[in-house]
Amino acid sequence: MASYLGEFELMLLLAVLHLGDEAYGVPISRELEKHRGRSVSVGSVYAALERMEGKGLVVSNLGDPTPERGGKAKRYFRVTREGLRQIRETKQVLTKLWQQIPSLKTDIG
Amino acid sequence: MHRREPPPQATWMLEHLTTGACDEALAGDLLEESRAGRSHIWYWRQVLSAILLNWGQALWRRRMVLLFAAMWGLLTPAWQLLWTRGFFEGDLVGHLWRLLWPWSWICVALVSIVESLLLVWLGATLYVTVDPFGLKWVRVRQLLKGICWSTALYLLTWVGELASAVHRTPKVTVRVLDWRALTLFGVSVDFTFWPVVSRIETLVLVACALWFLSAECASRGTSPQTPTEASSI
Repeated sequence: MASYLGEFELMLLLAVLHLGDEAYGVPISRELEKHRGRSVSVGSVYAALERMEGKGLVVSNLGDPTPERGGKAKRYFRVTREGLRQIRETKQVLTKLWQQIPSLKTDIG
Repeated sequence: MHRREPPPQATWMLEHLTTGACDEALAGDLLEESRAGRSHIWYWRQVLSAILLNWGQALWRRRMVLLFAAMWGLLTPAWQLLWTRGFFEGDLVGHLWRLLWPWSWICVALVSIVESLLLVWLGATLYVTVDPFGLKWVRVRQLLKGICWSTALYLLTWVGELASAVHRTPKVTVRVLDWRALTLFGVSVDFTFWPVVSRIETLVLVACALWFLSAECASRGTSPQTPTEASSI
C-alpha cells in the first residue's frame, strides 16, 4: 500500500533536498521559516527527521565538532531513494487533487 | 567582541531532560543560533519545546507499556486486600509485633515494602513474558536497571510517607477500614482517593521498571539507505 507524506514531512524533505550538503538543523528550520512565514522549532525539525530516518526516508551523518557550536557536531541529513519516491507520489496525488478543482487549476502552474 | 551566551539553566535542562540521537546536534544548533544573535526568549522557547516534544515522543513510544501499567495498577487494591488477609489471618502480624523493638517495626516495614514491590516486579515480569514483541528485544541489563530505578523511587516515596506520618498532627483523621468487611470485588471497584493514589503509584512504578526496555525497542534500527540527489526528483 502506498504511503503519502504529511505536510510538514513533505516540506522538510524538500528543504533537505534544496539545501543539499548543508542540510542540518539550523538551515533547515530557517528554510522552513522563510517559506512558511512563521517560526519553526528546531526540536520539532529534529523530531520529524528522526522519525523519517526510522522510516528510511532520510539518512544522517555527523560532521566535525566546531568551537562556535561548543564542540558539538552538526548532524547532516540526506534524502534516500525511498524518500524521493514518496515525494514524487505525494506530488502526483496532490497535483491530481488540485486539478479536480476548476477554480484553482490556474493557481498551480 | 563580546559573544552572546545562552542562559546556562536552559542549556542544563536541554542536556539533562532530553534523550535521543539528535540531542547533541540540537544543542549545538541552538548554541550556534544563540551566538549568532538570537534572544534568550527564543532560546528558552526552543529548549522548552524540545523537552516537551522529546517527552511526548518517549511516552508515545511506550504507549503499550503505559496501557499495561495502567491495567496492572487497577489490581492494586485487590492485591493489598489479599496481602492483608494473609498477613492477619496467618497471625504473621502477631508474631512480628511480639519481636523486640526495633526488629518488630523493621519486619513489619519490610513486609509492607515487599508487598508493594512484589506487585511491581510481577507486573514487569508478566509484561516481558506475555508481550509478543518483548522477547525479541528484552535485555536483562535494561530490565534490571528499570527495576532498580522503580525500587529506588518506591523507597523514596515510602520514606516520604513515613516522614509525613511521623510529623502528622493529631488533628488529622486517618481513615481506618475493617479489612474483614471488604471484598475483592468491592475494593476493585472502589475509585475513591486513596485506592486511586495506590493505583497511580503502581502505574508509575511498573512503567518505570519497563522504561529502559521500551527505549531499547524504540531505538532506531534503520537499514542503510542510499542518499539521493535533488536533481533526480
